[in-house]
Parts: sequence; C-alpha cells; structure tokens
Amino acid sequence: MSLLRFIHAADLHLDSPFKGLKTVAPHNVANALYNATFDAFDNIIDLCISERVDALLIAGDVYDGADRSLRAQQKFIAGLERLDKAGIRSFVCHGNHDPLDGWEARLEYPPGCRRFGKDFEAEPVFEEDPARAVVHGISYQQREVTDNLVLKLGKVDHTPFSIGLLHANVGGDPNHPQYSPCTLDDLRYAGNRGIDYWALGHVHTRRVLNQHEPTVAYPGNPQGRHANEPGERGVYLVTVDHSRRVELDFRAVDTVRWARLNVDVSTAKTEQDLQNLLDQRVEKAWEEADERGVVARIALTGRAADGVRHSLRRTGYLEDLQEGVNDNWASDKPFVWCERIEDETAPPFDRNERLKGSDFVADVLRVRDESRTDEELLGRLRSDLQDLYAHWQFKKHLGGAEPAGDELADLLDEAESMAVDLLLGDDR
Amino acid sequence: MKILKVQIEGFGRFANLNLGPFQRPMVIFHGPNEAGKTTLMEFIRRVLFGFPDGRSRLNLYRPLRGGRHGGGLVIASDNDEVVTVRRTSGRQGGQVTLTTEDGAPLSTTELGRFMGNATKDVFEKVFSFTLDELHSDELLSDESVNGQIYGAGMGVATLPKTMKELEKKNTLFLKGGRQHDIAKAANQLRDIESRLEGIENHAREFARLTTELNHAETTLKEKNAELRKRQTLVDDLKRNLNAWDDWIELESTEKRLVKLPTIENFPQDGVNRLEKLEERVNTANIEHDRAGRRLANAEAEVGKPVEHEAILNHSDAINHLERSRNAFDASVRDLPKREAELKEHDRNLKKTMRDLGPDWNESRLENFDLSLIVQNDILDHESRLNTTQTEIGRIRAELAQREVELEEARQSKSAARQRLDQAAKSDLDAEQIGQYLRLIETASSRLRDLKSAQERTTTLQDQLDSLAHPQTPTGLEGAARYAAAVAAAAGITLIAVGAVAGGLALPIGLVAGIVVLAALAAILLYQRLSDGAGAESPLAASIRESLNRAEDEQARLQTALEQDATELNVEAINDECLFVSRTQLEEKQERQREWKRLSDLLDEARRLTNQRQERVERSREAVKKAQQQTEDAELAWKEWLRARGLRDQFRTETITELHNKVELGLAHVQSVQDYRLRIAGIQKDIDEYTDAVETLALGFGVQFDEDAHHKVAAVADRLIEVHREVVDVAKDRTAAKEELQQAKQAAKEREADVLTAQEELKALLQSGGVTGAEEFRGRAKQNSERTELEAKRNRAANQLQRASGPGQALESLKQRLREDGDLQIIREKTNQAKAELETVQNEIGALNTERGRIQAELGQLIDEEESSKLRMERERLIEEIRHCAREWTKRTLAERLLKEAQRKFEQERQPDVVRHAKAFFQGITGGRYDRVYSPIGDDKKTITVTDGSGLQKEPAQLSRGTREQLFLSMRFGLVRDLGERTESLPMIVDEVLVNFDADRALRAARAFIELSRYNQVLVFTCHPAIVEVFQKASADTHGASEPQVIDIGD
Repeated sequence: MSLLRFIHAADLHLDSPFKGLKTVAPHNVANALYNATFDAFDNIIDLCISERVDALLIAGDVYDGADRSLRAQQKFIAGLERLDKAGIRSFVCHGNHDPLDGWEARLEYPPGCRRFGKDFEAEPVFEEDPARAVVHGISYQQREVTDNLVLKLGKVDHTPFSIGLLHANVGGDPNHPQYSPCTLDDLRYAGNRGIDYWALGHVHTRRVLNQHEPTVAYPGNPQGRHANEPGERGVYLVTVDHSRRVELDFRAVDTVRWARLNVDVSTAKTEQDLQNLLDQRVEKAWEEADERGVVARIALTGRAADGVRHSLRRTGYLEDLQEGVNDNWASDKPFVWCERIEDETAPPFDRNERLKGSDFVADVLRVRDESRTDEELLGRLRSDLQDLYAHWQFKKHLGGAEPAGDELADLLDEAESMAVDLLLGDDR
Repeated sequence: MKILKVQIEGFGRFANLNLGPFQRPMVIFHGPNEAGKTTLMEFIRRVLFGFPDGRSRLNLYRPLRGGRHGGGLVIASDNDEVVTVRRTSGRQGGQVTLTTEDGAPLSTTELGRFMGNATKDVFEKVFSFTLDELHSDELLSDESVNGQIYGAGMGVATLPKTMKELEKKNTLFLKGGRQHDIAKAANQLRDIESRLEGIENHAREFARLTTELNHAETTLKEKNAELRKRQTLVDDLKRNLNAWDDWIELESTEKRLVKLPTIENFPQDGVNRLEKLEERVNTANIEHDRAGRRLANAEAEVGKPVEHEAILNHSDAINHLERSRNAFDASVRDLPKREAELKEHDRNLKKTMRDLGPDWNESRLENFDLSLIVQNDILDHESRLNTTQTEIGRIRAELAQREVELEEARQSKSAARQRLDQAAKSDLDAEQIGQYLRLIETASSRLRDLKSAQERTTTLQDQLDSLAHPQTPTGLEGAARYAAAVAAAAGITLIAVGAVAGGLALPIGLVAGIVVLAALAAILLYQRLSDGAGAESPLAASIRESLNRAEDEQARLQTALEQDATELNVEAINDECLFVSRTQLEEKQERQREWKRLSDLLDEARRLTNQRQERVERSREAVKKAQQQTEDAELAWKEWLRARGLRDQFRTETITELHNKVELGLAHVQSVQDYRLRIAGIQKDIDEYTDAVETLALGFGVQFDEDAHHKVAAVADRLIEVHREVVDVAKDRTAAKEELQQAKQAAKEREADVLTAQEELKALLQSGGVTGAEEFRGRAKQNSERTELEAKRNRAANQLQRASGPGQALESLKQRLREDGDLQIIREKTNQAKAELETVQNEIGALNTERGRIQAELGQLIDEEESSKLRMERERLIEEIRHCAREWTKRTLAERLLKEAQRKFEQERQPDVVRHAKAFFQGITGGRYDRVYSPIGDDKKTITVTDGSGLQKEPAQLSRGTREQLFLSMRFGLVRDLGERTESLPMIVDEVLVNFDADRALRAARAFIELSRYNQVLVFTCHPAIVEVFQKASADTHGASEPQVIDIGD
C-alpha cells in the first residue's frame, strides 16, 4: 500500500500538427498523425484508470496557443471527465503555450479537476485526508514568463507529501525557450525545502534532474511531433511509499513514433540491393515500434558503389525509393511511413587526393577551402541567396534570414560535393 | 620531321621536277602568280596524305606536261631517319611506297610514325594552310584539335553540362518567376492560412453561441413553470365541464327519490313474470280444448265400414297383374308383326336354296365347309393358275421377238455377202505390200546418199584442183605477214623507248625489242621452209584422202541401188520410178484394206445369225414347258373341286361366289329359326296373363271372352283399381286407430298443464302482496321507477367522484359547480385558459428549437477536424518550401563555386596551347593584347583576347589582320604543343602575311623564324617584299639561320 500514486504528464500539445513533413501522407497515415496527440492523451487516461492512480498531474502546455482548437479543449475535458467518473483527481497548470490569458471556450471542467492560477496555490489530493498529499501549482498568466516562478512559492507545510507542479526551463536548456528560468537549487530550496516532488513540464525529452529530496523530473511530451522528437514518448507513473520514497516508472503512451533510420549503402551493388537494405531496416524499425505507427526519415550513408551512386544522382530516384518503401509498408497496420529519404552518402572521390591535382576539380575544392577564410569570396558565393531569403513573399517561411554559420558551411560542403560529382560524371 | 626533297613526276603543270635538298629550317618558295606555289603545296599534302578520288570535285592536278601522276618526297624524322615517300595517283589515295636511303622498302604504316600520327585534318588545319584557311575559324570548331585548346582532360569538359544541370534550380526558385515550386507551395500555404483564419473565428462564434444557449435555457425554465401552472388551471376547468352533467343528474334523481314510497322485497321482474304466467294459463286451456276435438274425430274415423275387403286376400296376384299389364299389351300388339317377319325370312331362305341348286337343303348348307383352310386352298390354286398363265404369255412374247431378230440377222448376212462378192481383191497381200514399201524407202534413202556423195566428190575435187594451181595468197598467210610487220615495228619501238627513257626502261625496252624481233625471224624462216618443200601439202593430202573416201561411198551406193532395182522389178532406180512404184503400192494397200473390212463384216453377220437361231430354239422349248405346267395346275384344281362334291366347272373366281351364297343361305336359316322361337314365347306370355285374369274374375263373378284380348285387359284393369281402393281404405282405418290413442294421451296432459299454470300465477300474486293481477301491476310500476332513479343517482355520484378524486376534492368540486352555477360560464373560462396554455406551449417549442440549433452549431464547432488537417498541411507546405529553399541554396552555391573556380582556372590554368598562342600573339601584336584564353564552361567554342585596357574581344570583334594574327598564333601554339609531345611536323604556309601591316608582318616573320628552331617552315609567296621580311627577321633573330629561298619561276 503506497502513500500516493500518480501520473506525471506534460506538454500534451493537443491538436498541434506534426512538423517537418515534406511529403503528403496517405490517408491512413494522415489520420493517425492528426489524431496522434489525442490518442496519446487517451492512452494517459486509460493508464490512470487501469493503474488506479490517485491523480493525474499535467505540467503545462496542454494545447499550443495558436492551435487551441475547440476540439482539443472538448477532448481534453472529456478525458478529465472520464477520470472524474473513475474517482481520479486531476491537477493542471498552464505553460507558455496555453497561458491563462489565452482564449478558452466556456467548457465546464469536472469537479475533480483543479486548475491552478497565476500564483502558487495548494490543493490536497485527498479531500478526506488533506494531510496526506498536497499539490502546489502555478500557471503562466501570459505566454512569456521570464520571472523565476519558483521564487513565488511560500513556505510549505512539511507534513503532507508535497508536489510542485510547474512549467519551467531548469538549468537553461538551449533547445527550449527560457521561460520561468530557474536552477535545480532553486527547486531544491523552494518553500524551505518543503517540496518532495517537482512535476515539471516544458522540456520535451524526459529526464530526471534530481532523483530524491526532492525528485525533479520532466516526463517529456507524450507524443513526438517532429523528426527531432524520435523514440518512445510517455509519462511517469510515480509511486510514493509511506517513507516518502519516490519510484519513477516511465510508461510510453505515444501512438506514432518518429524514427531516423540510417542505412549504410556501401554493400549495395545494385538498385535492388539498395531497396532490400531499406526494406530490412524498415522492418527492424517496424518491429521496434511495438505495434505503433512509425514516421521514418531515412538517411543513406556510407560510400555508394558507382552504379548505386549513378542512380542516386538521377533526378527523382530518391522519391522513387521512398515510394517503394511506402508501397510496402505505409498501408500496413501499424504502418511505417517514410517521410523522406536523404542522401548522406560520402562524396564519391577522395578529396585530399583531388586537391593535389592541377585540374578544374582541384580548383573547385580550393575555392571552397579558400571560402572558409576569405570573407570576400564567401560574400561572392552567397551573393545570390538574398534573392530568395529576402523575398517579401517567402522570407517569413524561411526564418527571415539566409543560412549562415554552420548551416551555410554544411550547405557549401554539400554544394561542393554536388558540383564535383556532376563534373566528374562517369569519369571519376 | 622535315622535308628534304620534292620529286614531282607529273602533277598539274609540273612534270619531272626535283626540288631540294632543303637544308635550312626555313625555306621560302618564291615565284610570281601562277608559278605553281599552291600546286607545290598541294603536292606535298597529297604525297603525305593521299590523292583524292578521281570523282572528287577537288582539283585533281592531273599531269598537264606528261609524267606519271604523282611523285615523291624525301623526308627526315626528328631522329634524322631518312625515307623516300612516293605516291602515284590511284584508288584509295593512290599507291604509296616507302624506301630507305639504302633503297630498302619500308612498310607504308611507318609513314604515320614520321607524321607523328597526325591526321590529315590536323595537318591541313594546323601545319599546312593558305591565307583563306588561316582566315577561317574552322580551327576552333574542329574536334580533332579543339580538345587541346579547351583543356580536355583538365576536368572542364563536363562544365557546361554541369552548369546546365545546376540550372534546374530555377524550377525550385527563380527571381521574378511565378511558376517555381516555392511560389506554388507558398500560394497553397496562403490558401490554407486563409482557411485557418476562418476557422479561428470559431472561437468568437463559440462564445456568442454559448451566451445564446444560456439565455435560451433560462427562458425555457421560466416558461416551463408557467406552462405547468396554466396546465393545472385548464385541467380543473376541464374537470368542471366533464362533471357538470353528472352533477345535474345527481341533484334531480335525489329530489325524485324522496317522493317515491319504498316497497320491500317486491318480486324481481314481477310484471313480466305475471304476463308470462297469464299467457301460459290461456295456452294450456286452448290446447286442452283442441285435444278433446281430436279425440272425438279419431273415434268417428275408426268406426267406418270397408267394401270388397276380401280382395285384400289376393293382393299378390293382383299386384302381379298390375306389374305385367303393359307387357301383356305389348305382346298382343307385337305378335302379328313378328309372324309377318317370319314369313319374309322364310321366303328369302327358299330363294337362296333355289339359287344354289336342287341338291341343296338346309342340312347341306349347315354342313358346308367355309373354313379359312379352304379359303387358303382356293387362294393357292388361284395363284398357281395365274402364275403359269402369266409365264406362258411372257415366254411366247419373247419367242416372237427373237424370231423377228433372227430374220433381221439373216437379211444382214445376205447383204454382207453381196457387198463382198462385189468388192475386188488385191493380187498382193498386206505383208507383201509392206515389204515393197520398205524397199522403196531404202532405195530412196540410198539415192539421196548417192547424190550427196557425188556432190562432195565434186567439191573435194575442186579444192584439190585449186591447191594444185594457186592464184592469190590465202587470208591466213596475209594475217601472218601483217603480224610479222607489226612485231617488227614493236620490237624496234621498244628498243627506242628504252633508249629514250633511259634508266631501268632502257634495258627492259632493249630486251623486249630483241625478243619480239627474234620471234618474227623464226616465223618467217618456218614459212619459207614450208613453201620450199615441192611435195603435196598436208592440206591437199587431207583433201585427197576425203575425196577417196567419198568416191568409195559413191560406188557402194550405186551397187546397192542396182540390187534394189532388180527387187523392185525396174530398170533403174530414180526418183520418178520410185514415186510411181510407191503410188501403185499404196493403191493396192488401200484395196486390200477395204476387202478385209467387208470380209470381217460378213463373218460378224454369220456369227449373229447363228446366235439368234439358238435363242429362238431355246424360247420354243420354254413355251412347251410352260404349257405343261399350266395343264398340271388346272388338273389339280379340278381334283380339289371333286373332292368337295362340287362340279368341276367351277373356277377359282366362281367358287368364291358359291361361298358367298352359302353364307347368305346360312344367315336366312338362322333368322327363320330365331323368329319361330320368339313368336312361340310371345304367345306363351299372352296365354299365361289371360289365365290369371280369368281365375280372379271368376272369384268376383266377372265373365269374359278369353280370345278377346281387349276384354281381358279391361277386366284386369278393373280388378287392379278395386284392389287399390280397398288397400287405401284399410290404411286409413289403421291410422285412425293410432290417432285415437294419441288424442286420449294429449287431452290428459293439457289438463295437467292448465292446473300447473294457475298454481304459479296464484303464487306470484301472493309474493307481490296482492290477490289481483291489476293491483300487482300497479305496485310493480312504482318499484321499477324507484330502482331506475337509484341507479342514475349512483352513476352520477361515481362519475363525480372519479372526476374530483378522493377525499375533500369531491366536495370541493361540488362546491365549485354550485358556485359557477352555469355551464356556459365554465366553457368560457376553459377556452380562455386553453388559449393561454397554447401560447406558452408555442413559446417553449420555439425555445427548444432555438436551443437545439445552438447546441448543434456548438457541436459542429467542437467536432470540426478540418483545422487539424489544415494545420498539418500548413506545416507540410512550410517544410516543402524550406526543403526547396535548401535544395535551391545548395545548387546556387554549387553554381557560384563553379563560377569562382572557372575564373580562377581561366586566369591561372589555361591549356598549354593557349599559353603558347598567347606568347606568339603578344609578340606579333607588340604587346597590344596581353591575354589570350579559351573560356570554359561554355558550349560555344571560341577564344577570347584581352587588350591592355582589359577589354575582352572575341575573334569576330577583331580586324581581319588581327584575327589572322590570332589564328596564326593559335596554330603556333598548337604546333608547339604538339611538338613537345610528338614528332615536329613542318609548317607550310601560303601567303599568310599579306594582310599584316609591315610591323606585324615583321613580328610574325620573327615568330616563324622562332618556330623554325623546332619545326621546319616552308613559306610560299609571290611577294619579294615578304621574302625580304623573312630575311630581315632572321637577321634580327639571334642564332637564326637565313631562310633558303627557291625561285619557282625559274
């Protein structure tokens, strides 16, 4: 018999779209994708009920601000109502994506749900036994909260097991906006060391920042939504025993999984060999996904044999390969849908050897090398890019600035590889 | 390689021309116009690379001044290996030979080595060119040379293709374009965002709808409360209305009940029961009276007397009479008819008997055999007789026919004999005639051979005579002498030619001439020997031999013909006698054939006559046999008739008729016998009926005549009638007795009924407490009225109770009814309340509809999935744009990289050819142009120069002279470049400096002098000034030797 069992979830981002998909998905896949955040949320509710937990804690970003659709709100409340009927309480705070000043449909939350306001509030988990466990939660009033909200927490009663529910960037994770920035120590000492468990949200990759006293954890988002959120996604099932020891058990609830599949093509002699390698890799991904749909981004690596290299250089060949994979796998249930195939195979020539030569190819390589230090040359090389990146119509879709830094360096390397590849033709 | 000597045998205007040796690096061929400079230059080109085909449009330079078309060059390789290349015009470029200095032949393939494997194109475009060729820019477009100019092998060959490939980025994005992929995706994105904006309005819509819904629900709640209140009022009023009639009924019945007396235990349904009992009493009395009358009638009926009652004792007999009555009448009526018919049948029988004959009676008729066996016998006999008759007829007809044919054959035979007798028979038979005819043919053939032999003998004799006495030379001898003359001339000519031609031709001509002359001498010697022998020539001997053979043949034939004449019995064989003999023999042969034909005809007629005679005899035999068979058949028939006691005159046809008559007779016998039996039967019936009637009539004393049948019938009818009447009376009396018994019983029962009914009536009156019926009726009426009123009162009270509900509600209802006091008032109140209720109901309906609409719209807003899909599509399009942008960026950067590299390459890494050319061009132009380069990355093959101001120019933009200087420099570059790698070939130029100004001409000449250090230079010019320029240039050039000048005009 435990003191408390609850599910810690965060960053549901209900009804927010999958990003970074270049290809139009087939009907079955598209359906799975735009329902994925809802399905993952349903899985959380199912998990709460099947595990008979005491509460569900959601640490912000239930919706994306811009995408807070009625459907999302209605489905969210429907899920909470299911919990309420099962006698399970729910505690919700709001983050930068669903701040309190955001629009909200007038839908009634079930009585067992507690939503926190712009200041820390305490709510017992068990009404009949208030001294057993308390949740201290706070929501974002507006999107951009740059204050350290942890500092707003007053003294906390040590008697009950105390949980802090907060959406925050702990330790300045550079991959996420610096909202409610704080340090691990801030959390540790908050409320005069009164918090036993910090249920955090905001960082989409699950991690436990501190194991005990207090336990500080991000469960990550329950459904990956782009290529940079690969692998299994879910929530923590938290069990607290009577000596207040916390045990975390990660449970995957995602319904569609992102996978980046590297396929070394060096052994392929023919197009058929290549297709077979892809099929083998996809099959492995299918098995690993544990009955879930997979959105795969395939990267071809290694040094391709001449014949294969020739094929890869052919316009539309990668798309044909992708279509071949999808013909075999995308209509399966669960599906593996290849979203794109990228050619990252090594250049077909030995760059160092080529540099020693006195031919035109060597000059191309030298120009690239000189561009690393010669700003004027670099300026000439990128002189045409403004045409696109400063275009009034398209710049907003392209991040507003032309590629620079590492991105530009990568592009130049790829451009060099492409140019030399074309120059050498079949004579390399 | 350099050219040491030129040896022309015959080429255009040159014949047998030798030039050289050329010992200086530069040789200038100087001569006026049409001195043959171009011809000489072309000669060198063609010896090295071949003569054009005879059909070519090119100038073939056929030798105009004699000499074999072609000639040779003595050349030395860079290693000083000297060979002579000789080529003469012919197919496939002409015949070429290579010989070393020692005269040893070399393989012709070695020429390629001496030429540094340069092709004809390369040689003509680079090494050997005229002013016109210099001016043309074919040099740059020629694939065999431009590889060197444009740096093939330096990785730039694929640059144009690469640039083209990279240009595909324009499909991704093109500045100012609208159809590129990014623009298309952005357009789609704009649409999506516009649709999403529309969906974002849903939030406001949701808030508005929620407010509306709340308002609608509050109003609905209020209206529902009002509805309930108004419904209660309407319900109360409806109750009042419904209860009104019952309440009025209750009030009036209670008032009337008070006035009526109370009667305890009055019989139920008393009046009805009283009336029924009174009815029963009356009915019982009537029935009682009727039973008394019935009894009296029955007693009277039983007592009546019956006449002729005794007849009942003969009922069976009279019943029999009655049943047979009709049969009796029929028998009496039929008897005379049947007797008449018997008589008719008897007559027929007798007539048939008469037809059959006196020996026939009924007994014989009945015993006569008419069985099927007999019928079959008759048919057999009939068939046999018919067959024999038919057969004999047929054979007799055949006999007659054969007799006629025999007579015809006999007549034919006589006619044939007569014709044969008239025909003449030949004295020779056919074989003899044949032998004579063959003999004539042989003789005729021999006669022809003889004539032929005679002609041949004459001819041969003539030939022999002519040989023995010649007059003119024969054709054969003439020809021989002419040949000898020609041979002599040829021999002398050959010696002369050899002497003239000199060299190798001299000994060859000499030898050939001597051989021809020697042969001529031998022929003439032989001929002379033949003429001088004096004996008969072999020809004459041969002819004589033939003549002898012909004469022998002639003698043999004559002997044979003489024998033929003897056999043919003529004096001598000649064409005429042979013709006469043949004609006579052919006539005999024809006669012989005719006689033979007639003789054959007679033989055939005889054979036919004999054959037909035999057939007539056979037919006569057959007739006899058939007659015998006919007689046998008739005998058998008569025997059969006798066996049956029939006369033998019967034939098979007539015996059938007899049978028919016998059958008819038998039928008549049968009919007569039947009728006799039937008449006897009828008579018997009449007699029996008459006897029965008579017996009964006597019993009742009736007399009658038994032979008068109608009286018998009348008596019988009377008896039957009396019997019927007595039987009917007896039946009536029996029935009357039974009725009497029943009537007595009924009278007793009706009496009891009357008593019972009277008792019950009395009891009913007593139960009503009265003694009289009228009094009873009065009391019953009062009781009924009271009961009815009580029922009405109770029903009304129950209705009110139901309408009001239990407890105080009934009293309350009654109170309200009393208060209202008028039905019309209640109706008005009810109608008003209903109208108000309906209004509220309508308002609630409208509110419910409104709420449903709002809820449906809210549901739609909540359930819409389109925005999810649109957002996903928006993200996809953004990604597509980014992907396109990245791809475009990559290609754009690649393009830029290549352009930078191209610039670098063009500046720093021109091909060697261009570098050499640049040096020459700079020198020739005095440094005016400091840069020459071949642009890369462009399909257009050109060369670009840059002057001191940095201005770039292509050849077309240069003056003619400068352009020629550029192309000359390019050739210098190529010559130098090739020379560095392979054999240095001589440069042969024709008037290439004429368009240069003096300064540049001198500079160019210096360049040539410079080049001549590595490559031999042969210059053709008609301008002495040019010669001087070259001489000056060589003088200016350190270490250069003076050009060798050869004047072609000399």
